[in-house]
Amino acid sequence: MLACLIMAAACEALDQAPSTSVTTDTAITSVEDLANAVNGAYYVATYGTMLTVASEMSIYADLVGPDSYQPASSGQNASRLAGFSMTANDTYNAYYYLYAAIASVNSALEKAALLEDQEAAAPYVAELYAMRGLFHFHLATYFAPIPTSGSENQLGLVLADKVFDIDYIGKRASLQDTYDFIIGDFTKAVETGLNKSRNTGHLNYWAALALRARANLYAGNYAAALNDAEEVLEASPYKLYTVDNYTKVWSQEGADEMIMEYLQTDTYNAQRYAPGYYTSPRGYSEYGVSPEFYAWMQSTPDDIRSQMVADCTVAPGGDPDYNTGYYPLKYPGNAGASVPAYVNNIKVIRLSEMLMIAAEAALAQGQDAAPYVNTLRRNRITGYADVSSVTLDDILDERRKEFFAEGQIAFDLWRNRRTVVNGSLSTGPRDYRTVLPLPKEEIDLSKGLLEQNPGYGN
Amino acid sequence: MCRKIVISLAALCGFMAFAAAQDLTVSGTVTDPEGYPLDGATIIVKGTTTGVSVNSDGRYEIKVPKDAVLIASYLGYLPQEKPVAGEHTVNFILSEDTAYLDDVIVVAYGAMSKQDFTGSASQVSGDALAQSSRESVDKGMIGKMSGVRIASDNGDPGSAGNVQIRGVGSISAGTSPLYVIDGVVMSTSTASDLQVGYKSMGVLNSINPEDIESMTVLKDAAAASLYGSRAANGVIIITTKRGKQGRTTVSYNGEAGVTSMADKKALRMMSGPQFIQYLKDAGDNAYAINPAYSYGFTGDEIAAMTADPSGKTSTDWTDQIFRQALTHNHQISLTAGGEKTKVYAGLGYDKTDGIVLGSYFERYSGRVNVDHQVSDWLKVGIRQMVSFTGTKGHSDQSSQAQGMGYATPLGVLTQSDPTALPKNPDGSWNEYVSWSGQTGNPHLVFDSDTEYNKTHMMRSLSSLDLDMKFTDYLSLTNTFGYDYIDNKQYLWWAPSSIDGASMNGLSASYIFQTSDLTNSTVLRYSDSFGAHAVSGIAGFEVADHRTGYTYASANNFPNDKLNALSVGQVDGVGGASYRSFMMSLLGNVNYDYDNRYYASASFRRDGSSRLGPDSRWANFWSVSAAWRLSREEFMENVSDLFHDLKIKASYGTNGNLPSEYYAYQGLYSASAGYGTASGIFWSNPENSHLGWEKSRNFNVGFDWNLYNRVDIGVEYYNKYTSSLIFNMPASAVTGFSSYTSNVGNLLNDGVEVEVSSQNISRRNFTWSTDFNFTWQRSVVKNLPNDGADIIYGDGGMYIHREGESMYSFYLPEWKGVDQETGLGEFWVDPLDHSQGVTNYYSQAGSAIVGKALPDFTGGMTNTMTFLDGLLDLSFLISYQFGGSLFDYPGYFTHSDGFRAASMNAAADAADYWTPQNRSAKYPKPIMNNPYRWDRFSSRLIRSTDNIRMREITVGCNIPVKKYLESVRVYFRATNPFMIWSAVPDIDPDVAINGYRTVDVPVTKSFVLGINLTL
Repeated sequence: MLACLIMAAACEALDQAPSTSVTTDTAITSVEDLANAVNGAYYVATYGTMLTVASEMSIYADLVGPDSYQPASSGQNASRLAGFSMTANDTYNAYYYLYAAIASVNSALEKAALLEDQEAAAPYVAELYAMRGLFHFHLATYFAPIPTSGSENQLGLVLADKVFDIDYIGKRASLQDTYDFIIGDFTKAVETGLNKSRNTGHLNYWAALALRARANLYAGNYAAALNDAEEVLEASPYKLYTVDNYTKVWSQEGADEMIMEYLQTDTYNAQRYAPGYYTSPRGYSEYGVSPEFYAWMQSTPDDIRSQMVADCTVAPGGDPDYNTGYYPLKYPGNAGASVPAYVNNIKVIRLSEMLMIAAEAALAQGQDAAPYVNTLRRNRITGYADVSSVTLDDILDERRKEFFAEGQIAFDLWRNRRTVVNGSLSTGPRDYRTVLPLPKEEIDLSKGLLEQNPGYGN
Repeated sequence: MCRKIVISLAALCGFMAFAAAQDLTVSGTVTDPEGYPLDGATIIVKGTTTGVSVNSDGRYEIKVPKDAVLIASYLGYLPQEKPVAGEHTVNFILSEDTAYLDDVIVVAYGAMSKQDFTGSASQVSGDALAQSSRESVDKGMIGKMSGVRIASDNGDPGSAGNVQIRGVGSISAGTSPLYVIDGVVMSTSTASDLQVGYKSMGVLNSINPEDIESMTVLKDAAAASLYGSRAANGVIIITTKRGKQGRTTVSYNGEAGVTSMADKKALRMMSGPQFIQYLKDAGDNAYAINPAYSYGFTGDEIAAMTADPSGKTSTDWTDQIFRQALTHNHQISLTAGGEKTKVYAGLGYDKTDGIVLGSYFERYSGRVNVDHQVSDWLKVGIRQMVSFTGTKGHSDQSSQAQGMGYATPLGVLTQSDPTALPKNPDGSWNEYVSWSGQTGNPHLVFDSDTEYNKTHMMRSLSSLDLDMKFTDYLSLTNTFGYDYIDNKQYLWWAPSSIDGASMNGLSASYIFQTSDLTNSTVLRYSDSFGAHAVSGIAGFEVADHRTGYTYASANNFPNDKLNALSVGQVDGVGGASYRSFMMSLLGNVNYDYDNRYYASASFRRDGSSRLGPDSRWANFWSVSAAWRLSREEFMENVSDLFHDLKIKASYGTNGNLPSEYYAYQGLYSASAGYGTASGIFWSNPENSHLGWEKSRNFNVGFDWNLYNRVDIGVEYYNKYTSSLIFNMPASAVTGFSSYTSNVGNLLNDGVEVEVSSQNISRRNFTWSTDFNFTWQRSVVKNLPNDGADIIYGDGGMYIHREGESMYSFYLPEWKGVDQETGLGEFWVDPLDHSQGVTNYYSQAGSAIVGKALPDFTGGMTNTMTFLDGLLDLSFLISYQFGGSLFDYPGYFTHSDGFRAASMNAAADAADYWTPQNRSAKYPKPIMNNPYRWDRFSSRLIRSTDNIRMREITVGCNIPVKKYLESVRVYFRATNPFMIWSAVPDIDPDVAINGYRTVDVPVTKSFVLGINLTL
């Protein structure tokens, strides 16, 4: 009798539940849960470790760009990226966290479809689609060539368009299909049209549209890129930075022209892998700018952007722990951050880029690009006089000044079939090193199904 | 009451059966030599099953025929026979069986005579363990038992050792054995339940080896299957000391000594002049390829950046980081026992300073064991242990994957500039000794309280045994155990420290708590009918395991002086709890006929919360048999040679559970956030089919005693583990890097030999030898995905391949140095050398280039006594052959110039190629070497073959009988020297997986001790 009672009580004790997790089938049963799932997918994508979109990968296109310079080399990932020495053994995080975030997105999308209040769920569903597009877009810029670069490599990504069984092995889609998929997801997000108000740290209607403009530009769909950029410029609630506030916006959250930024906090940040630590003379100091870039920026002192590079060539008090050099000043720390070098929101896309996309797309179609460039410069240069025409070189130079240290520069050059020249190192648009190797773990697991990028062995 | 009725009934039956022959009532006493009654001893009429128990006064009464012969026996005492010869009073005085330990073996849920035991087990006495290590029982087992391997390359006091019984039982689930202490399963908490992995920590250190009476390792299914789902990796049963009736002894054991690095060659770096030359060559060689590799500097320019480019300064930083450390240990114990109550109490203190500056291990422990005979039928045992263990140390590479912590001993050692002096001219420590600029002076890093990791562990182990004797044949034991561990971990990185600078200081405090509540109720039956003896148990057990942690951290400290959390700004908090529950039914039956033929069977059914409802219950069983040939008539002629000979065989199953608590559940984790909002994400794919890992064990062997002097035990075992719990790699595209599944099979088999010989046994000189030998292999039999290779580990350096050993290294094969060019060469395809060589690591293919597990391991202990036991000497030699290690530090210290801009290199790396030294061991150094010869390859695989002197003890038993029971003074050396090793420039002791990290290399120690017994 007693034994039976004990048995019955004990049998119940055999069902144990974790204290920090809920089971998949009970995780998303309300719109509130869905909102949390959206946050969770951002959390995974920006997970606080090396080589995520919140750590080194956020400045990847700068590290491999023309102005990259390593004041110190402590053998961390930034200098390995800059030196093109990343092998297939090293790229797992850059690949994994984005796909993990996409898996959470797809799982949330599945469960969102089962919610009763579809109307309330719709903005989140739209955001989830935009997130899926953006995460694929990040992956595409790391692991696949830019379609307009002229690369012979036409391999795109494994497209994660739904929840997969755990033993799923995917094949790479073509580059064309990959960009079609990315643009398609942004389109899904845009078409619901329900989330047009500012929502810092989140992908709203405007962010999806702006990113679609960028994706279209990368894919060579210039008319579509121009249309999207124009719409954001005309109708969005964002305002260009000005000469007056330009130097102050970098520590602000939800600054005037920030359409999308990844939030970083004292709790959630990449610590020493964060770009702020790499751009600090007392940190890893593996991402500075070259003396030539510094001199070039200083040659236009009326341009407020000349103040965004710091001359740290003299160590205060001769401190040997201070790595002397020139550093970008775009990672001063979020206002109020306890460790400024760790906590900087990651800039994903802002309004200025719409001007530059529009200019580049207009020029590519033989239209007048000068007004876009003039608009930007008027907000950057004191006493600026409009120009009547601009060349592609002008636009690319403008981008270097405006977007350095924001993860764009090498892509800008390769996209336009230019060679990145940095000292003795030059990387052409069709160079195998313009893309990173897929992680060895993925290649090994696929038993031949997953093709490695050329130049990285099998 | 119930008992009395049963006894009366039994007595009545006995009376009826033997009434005809009984015509005499005999009574008497059974005592020990000092006259204390031996309560519970038995009196049996020889040649019959008639017998009675002795009462608590030591008296008995029995009716027997006039010519009967009585046998008195008591566990732990030699049996005695006396003819009645018509007398009414027959008294017995039993003498203690000095070989008690050898004859009785502690087994699952009980103890039994060794001769009746059909399974496989090795037993070692507590003294032998404590002699080898006062710090931790696992470290004391090295070289003492066959089939048991203890591996550790960490000399940090308080660090964890790996214990492996009969090979590697699992790939992804746990491989460490189950520990049972006084019948209670100890907490299965692993270090990861109890700390954050800044440094290695052993949970077993909380047990004081000096409180241990004996330790038994259960190896085969017959021995271990009663522990079912947790027995797959073997079971270690620890029995603590008990009070003994009659004698009160108070003893003090104390020792003190010094510890240092066992072999300094393990970590020897280049001297100042060597380093300067190395920088010049590495810089020039780099400059010649591309000035960017040497940052635009020539070799001379780089060498000029050292602290003293003149070459006149040379600091051996190994001597600055590592030291001769003090160790001392004290233990006071009391053993006493009266008629009804027996007590053991011990208090111990151990303090072992680490060989790295600023590190130590400290333990206070106390134990009280009380056994009390409440009444004829009820016996109560209460045992309580409390220990406080404190450690202070520094981060190590134990949680590091490819990379090296700056503030670790290894990080500081490799990055210190050998041309810098430790001290400034004014006597203060020189702050600027780091060549990389990322580390600091070891005295400031390790010995200044600016950066450390401390733990304070409290463990309480309580158990209660209730023994209820219903009849002589039937009893019930209820064992209740509660094992509570509380570990507080403190981390302090001061604002000025290497790791703390970026956060302006970090202080973190973690509290880990685990509790294991176990209750088992076992009904025991034992009887004999003529030559037939039957015994068995049936029981029920529940085990409730809970663990959890809370932590808080703060940063932005005003200065280095204060590190209390309240001094800084809030950085982070966290906490979670975990629980697992298990319930079980168990039973066994043992039968023997005439102590000649034995058969046993056992069964256990376990249900665990770690598995889904459909697969959480499983059955485990064993069958075994033995035949004592020496009891056969046909062996009588050779009864000296075959004093005892038993052959035995067993077969059965054991299990293993997933290490994760909730692996079968599809989960969304809520420990996430974005900005200031909360978040949830898909964290675990559902896997409701996840089940037990099962092993089928076959064991066959013999135990042979020759001339009552030599014991030989030989066994072969074959352990086939199926439905392995496997962390299957998953494609990142699914959102997961791996998932848990039951796939694949693993085979462990081996031969074990144990020989124990009394070589010489004279009054003035005795010499005995214990020798053990193990041949062992662990082979991956089947893998998932049609047997596809699984590459795993740091940088994919290991492979699981069907037919290959566990922990096989899968790496490019290093060919050597091209004597013409000085460049390093790899084989393009290690399996097909016709494809030629390459200078580039990236173009080199991989193959299996070695395995971590040795083929042969063992040890030998020789013990000698001189002058009637006045002096004694013993030494233990251990050996192993056939395995290799992966030299992780070597990856940094043999970088062929790649790391010259930040690190010094190993002393032997100075033998590199130059046009004048073409037959050099290493290629020419190139700063930021683009070829990457340093990357993981067969070059870093080194043989671990060695024969090592583990221990030498010399003792003197001073004859002071008048005042004290005994006084013993001894000197002990641990790891004093290497007798032979295949690779002399490295210490071959390494963890089971062969991954050498050595932040704190293996140590040697020399201690002087005294034992006083009142």
